[in-house]
Amino acid sequence: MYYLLTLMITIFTSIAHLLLKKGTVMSTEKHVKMYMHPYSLFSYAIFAIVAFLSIVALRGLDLKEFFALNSLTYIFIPVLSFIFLKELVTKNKLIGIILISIGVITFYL
Amino acid sequence: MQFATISASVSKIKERIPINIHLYLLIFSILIQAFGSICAKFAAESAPSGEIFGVNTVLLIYLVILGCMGLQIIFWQQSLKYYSLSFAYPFRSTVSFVVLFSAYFLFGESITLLNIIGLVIISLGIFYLVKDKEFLR
Repeated sequence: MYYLLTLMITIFTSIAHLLLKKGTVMSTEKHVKMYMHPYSLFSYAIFAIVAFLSIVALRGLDLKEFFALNSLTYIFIPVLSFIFLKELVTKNKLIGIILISIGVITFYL
Repeated sequence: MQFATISASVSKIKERIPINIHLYLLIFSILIQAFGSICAKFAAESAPSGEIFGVNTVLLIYLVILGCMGLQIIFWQQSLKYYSLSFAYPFRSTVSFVVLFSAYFLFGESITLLNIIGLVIISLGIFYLVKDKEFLR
């Protein structure tokens, strides 16, 4: 149950970061607008839920286990950025992301 | 000789990624995130009925986590104005360094050889990432 909950947290976190980036890019240069953009506000709400769910998940998991599962975001977010934000995936970026993912998984094994 | 090589690599990275306010904001947001994660573990380990100054411990820590999250988002969003998400987000893996030490010193968890190998691979990954020219949004 705790593992499933952490997986849910990972998906929510990825979506929230995507929305946050969208809100930042879509708003104008004014700082307030950036923080009050509907996408940004929606992502803050998701982060608040994630914070609560994290406490629940950590009741059943070690801090290291929790972060191991959370490392899936290092794969989800670049993929979502490529699909929805049209960010470029260069050779160095790809190698970096793959190495970081392997490193994080090794770290938390 | 080796020092000169490392120094040249650092200079190259500095040329590609200017040390500016956005980089500091990125690092600050990562450090705050690490602190929030440690607080979450503290909250999880606290007794649900525990109290500090008459306020429920878990609720108090949850409020601290929300505060950290708010501060982190302000810094993070400012850095996202400059960096692409696929560049900035993998930087958060540096939290693993903080988690390793906090897990050991605060929660009595052990440090294994795999932890050390993992950190070395993460560092290598970050090196490739900062070599990239496509880091702007």
